[in-house]
Amino acid sequence: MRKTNCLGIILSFFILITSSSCIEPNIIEELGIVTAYGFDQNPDTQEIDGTVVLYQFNPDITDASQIIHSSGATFDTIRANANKQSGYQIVNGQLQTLIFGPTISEEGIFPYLDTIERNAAVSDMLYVAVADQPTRDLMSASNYEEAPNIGIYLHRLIETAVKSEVIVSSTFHEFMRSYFRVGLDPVVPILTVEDNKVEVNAIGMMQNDVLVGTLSMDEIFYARLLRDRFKEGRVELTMNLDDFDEYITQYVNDPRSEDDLHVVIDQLGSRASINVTDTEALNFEVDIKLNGRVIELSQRINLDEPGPLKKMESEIERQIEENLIEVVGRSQELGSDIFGFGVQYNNATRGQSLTTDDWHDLFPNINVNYNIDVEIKRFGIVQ
Amino acid sequence: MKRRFKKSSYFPCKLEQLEQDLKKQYFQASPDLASKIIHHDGKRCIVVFIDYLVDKDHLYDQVVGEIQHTPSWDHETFKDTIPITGSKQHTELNPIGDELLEGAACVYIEGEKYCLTFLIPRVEKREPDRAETESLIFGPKVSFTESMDTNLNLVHKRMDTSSLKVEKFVIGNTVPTEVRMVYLEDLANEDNVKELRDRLSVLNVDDVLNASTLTQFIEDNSYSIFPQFITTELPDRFCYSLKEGRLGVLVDKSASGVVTPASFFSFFQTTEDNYTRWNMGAFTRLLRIIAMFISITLTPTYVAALTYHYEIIPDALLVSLGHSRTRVPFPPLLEALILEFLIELIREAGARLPTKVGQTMGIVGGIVIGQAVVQAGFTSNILIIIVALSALASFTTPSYLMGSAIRIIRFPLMIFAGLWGFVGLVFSFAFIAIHLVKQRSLNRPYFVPVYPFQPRDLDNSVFRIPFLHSNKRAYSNKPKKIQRFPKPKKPKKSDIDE
Amino acid sequence: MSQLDIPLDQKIKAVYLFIVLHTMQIGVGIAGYPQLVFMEAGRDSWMSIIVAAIVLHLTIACIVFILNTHKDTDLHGILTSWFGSFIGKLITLVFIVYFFIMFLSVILNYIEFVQVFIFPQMSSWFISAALLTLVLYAVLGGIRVAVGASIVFFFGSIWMLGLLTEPIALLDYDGYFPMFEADMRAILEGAKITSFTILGFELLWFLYPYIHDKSKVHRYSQLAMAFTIAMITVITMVSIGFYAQGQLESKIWPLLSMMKIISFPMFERFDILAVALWMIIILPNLILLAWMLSISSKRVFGWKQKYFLYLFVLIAFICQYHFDNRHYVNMFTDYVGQAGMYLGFLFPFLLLPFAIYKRVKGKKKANAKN
Repeated sequence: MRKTNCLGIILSFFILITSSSCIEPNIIEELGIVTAYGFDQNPDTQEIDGTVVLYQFNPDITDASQIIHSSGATFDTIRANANKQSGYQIVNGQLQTLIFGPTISEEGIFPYLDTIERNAAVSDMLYVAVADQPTRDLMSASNYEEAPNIGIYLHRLIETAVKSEVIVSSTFHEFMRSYFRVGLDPVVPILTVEDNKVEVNAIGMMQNDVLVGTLSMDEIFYARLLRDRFKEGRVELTMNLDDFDEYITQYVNDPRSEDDLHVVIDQLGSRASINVTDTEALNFEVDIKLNGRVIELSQRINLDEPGPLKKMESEIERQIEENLIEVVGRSQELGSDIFGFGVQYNNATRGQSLTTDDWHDLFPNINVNYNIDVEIKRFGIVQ
Repeated sequence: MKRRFKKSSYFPCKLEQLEQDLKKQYFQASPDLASKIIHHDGKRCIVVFIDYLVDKDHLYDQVVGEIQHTPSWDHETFKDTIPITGSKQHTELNPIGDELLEGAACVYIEGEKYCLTFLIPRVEKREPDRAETESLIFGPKVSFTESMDTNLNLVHKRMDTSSLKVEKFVIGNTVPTEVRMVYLEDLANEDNVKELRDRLSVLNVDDVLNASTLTQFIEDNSYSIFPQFITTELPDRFCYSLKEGRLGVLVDKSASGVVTPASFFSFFQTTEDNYTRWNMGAFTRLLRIIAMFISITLTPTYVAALTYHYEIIPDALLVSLGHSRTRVPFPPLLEALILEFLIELIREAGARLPTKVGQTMGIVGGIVIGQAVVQAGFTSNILIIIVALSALASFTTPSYLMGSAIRIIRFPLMIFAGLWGFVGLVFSFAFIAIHLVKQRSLNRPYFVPVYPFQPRDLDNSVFRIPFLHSNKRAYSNKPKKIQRFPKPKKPKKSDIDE
Repeated sequence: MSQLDIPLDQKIKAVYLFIVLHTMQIGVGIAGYPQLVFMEAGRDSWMSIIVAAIVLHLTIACIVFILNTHKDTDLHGILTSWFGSFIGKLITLVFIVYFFIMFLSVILNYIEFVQVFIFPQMSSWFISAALLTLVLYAVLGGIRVAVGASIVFFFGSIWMLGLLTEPIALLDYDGYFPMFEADMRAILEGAKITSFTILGFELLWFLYPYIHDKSKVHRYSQLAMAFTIAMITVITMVSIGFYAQGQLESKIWPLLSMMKIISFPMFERFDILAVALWMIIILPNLILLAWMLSISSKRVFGWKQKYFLYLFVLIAFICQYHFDNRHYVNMFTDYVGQAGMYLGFLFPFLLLPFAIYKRVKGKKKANAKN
């Protein structure tokens, strides 16, 4: 009995193996593995111009990077058209960066992201970014350090910025989540080319999927302060030197400006909470707790004493509040709630289903109060 | 028709007649039947033996010598004076022939009514030596030899207890071979004993070549690739298993013992794990199990990833993998098969050649061919690392049979991975898992302690914890006594400085 | 016929019920469940789960109560002894059909996973042939191997739950608020959806006579249910926090999509392996179902179990070939859910009065004897 069973199993195995159900293999060296896509709206035609950065493995050329330009009406057509110019089968499984040119980001990038979400082969951890010039130019920047190709370089560039808490992370998953979350708008890093090298120079504020404005690298800090949490952030503030006149132990002639005091704070930890105080009047209260250490002071001030320390802290609080008011005000003008006020509003108003459009109508009218509490914990190794 | 008188006895007869008849009837072809005629007091006595089967020292000192020195010649006196224990009387010719073949000397004084045989066989034995296939660093290194006496002696010396039972079986129609079943009566489960006894006594084959051949006759599933009985050449391991309540089988003329019932994980244990401290023992034991897993998954994963699932390759590796693959003219599956085949070739050639040449072979095969193969663009260098690693991992398995099984399993796994990627890989793993669950060793579950799930057995099968805490024998063998020793009392808890 | 005489070495320990019933419940359904329940009950899905959990635990208590009335027999035996052979056979047949459709729907769903996530070109008959080969190989070893395989596969797949830590690190806690928004109807609808997912415990009806220590059956069955409930609660809550509302509503298999972000240093995309590994999550379902189908058919029709096994595998293979389409997958899944509502949850309560009656009568008899 055992024998017949075994024979049966062996037979069915044999049928399985010899059966014609072979699948199309994706052998690695026959693939053009895309690491980044750039999309631009072609002004003349209705089509999209795509810039495809991919690996192609060639035994004689050590540089595996390859850039193909193609166009088409849809994401997949762009891929298929790119494939016409390549002897390799172009696949999306290792896609790491998606970049949209200014022409598209002003129109809305969601349709392209939607097709990508449908594609099971594409990772959710790729970065979505916007370029301030046509992606075709951006991606032909030839200086991409030691990275194997520009796609990987872009990925590393954004990743480093996110890890060092300079910008707000916008992976594909996070972008989509902000997009779908009522009362929160996505942010994207904005890339530009400087000296033939791509760099992150701002973040873009989106209204839904449309880029409506940008925040400079200095302003990003305030957006991030509300939206996220700092663990080891860094901020630079410029203060009026006159306020600290009495505390200066030794005046140093600063060539930058005679009236300014430059302060750099790092190891910055923060915690922000947005509370709705009045849903009718749209009053919000923001509590922020900050702590950090001063690592750079342009003048010698003895922070060891309570007087100057208190003064410094309150000055920082004042400055941060000023900047916050400005940044939030700007985003209100642009109608892009990248801070998540709407999420809290939605949570506070139970029972009425808030839509994104509703919130975009309400957002410019909100009033925000800030309570900022700064604590300087250390002052470096000199007093 | 004349009714012939049936001669009741062959003897008495002439000495020459006896020699002639023996030669004619049994040893026509053999020039080795030797004889010596001794004269004394007018009596003649013949000693017949086969030259190479008897111990010459015994023959001349104790048989011929004693006969010459005995004053009164008759068989009764001989029986007393010749100091050999196994003497027999024969009145027929036939048994004498058989006795001679076993190494006896036949003594006959002319005119006597029967003939005497003394068993003085010459046994070539080697002294117990270091174990070759199962080498140890830390434990006792002595190994079994081809002699049943020595082996039983080795076992008895290690377990000086009256509960050690040895049952004798003679198996084989053409060449009968002595087989001994060894177990500790107060530990071994009776069902196991009965089962093994049944299997051994029912066994009807022409010849048991060796202990490992015997296991193939009595194991539960001959179609499986996994060994179901442990074959070991270490008396130490043999005895350790008996002390766990298992049964052992020794086969005459075979330098290894068989231990049963065995579980899948017991093939990854050595007695060394017990001799080293528990943390090292636990580490090496886990290392072997992980190595087994690496050995069977690594190459198939490579094949699957490069053939279908390029998505999973980290981008830091992607470029170097892609580059080294571009020169390879084969699909990854074929590439891996070729390289694995190459490794098996080197291993096999190394095993067949004499030790010294074998070592050279390993170096030539490993370094020279390995280098050349990559440079010629036959395989990618990453695959070389992977294949070498998995070959290395497979050699960590203490049991040679299990190690070979693991090496062979890789091939179907690779083929499945190459045909259907991870789906094929998971399929084959599922198949192996079901197979292991299905398997039994001496009617005991094979995949214990995973299934039947015995968390209490994990302490000394997959892991190894201090003996203070693992004072129980494995439940899965169902020994009569579970506890090895009473749990030592915990010292009273005291504060730090007390 | 009503008493089953099962040799001791074929019996299994009650502890295994914990794993066996749990693996029966967790299968293809769990991958898509968070979306389905979210569609109904929204952020308050956990309330639906609690409702379903209460019903589930009551149902199990009821089933065990009925089974304990008669020792050593399965549903078929109980029905036969209460209502006669015809009704017993009829209802067992209904269960056979129900389990068979469940069997089919599991295969069809897995085929869809594989085709959507990794191999769009892999022919479905091939995947089903592979699955059925494994099922055949396991069930031919009998109940011992069927249960053993489930346990090994359970250990082989349960560690994946630990990988959820990566999505948990990315949770957005704002996603859970505002709470208590769903109305009663939505929560009940959600509970209904939940009950579809946790079907499979009905196997206890047929597994019962094979349990060695019957006194522990109730404890371990309830524990299994509690574990399943805990598991789907965790998975659902993580899905809700991980995705925004609109996003979760658009994902057909939130659990598998969530795996997309899991990566290891040498293994960038875990979802690919997860889909393949899903095979060992569904194999216990298939193996135990196939075992139940063959053994129950034997009890109804009386031929050899082996022949029924071959027959069912063959029919499943042919059916799969015919119904290879998303439309049918949904249809079958719905059928199973609908039937499960009645057969799984309602049916035990229908039998309960009879069991109480039998017990009371039995007691009276015992008293009369005394």
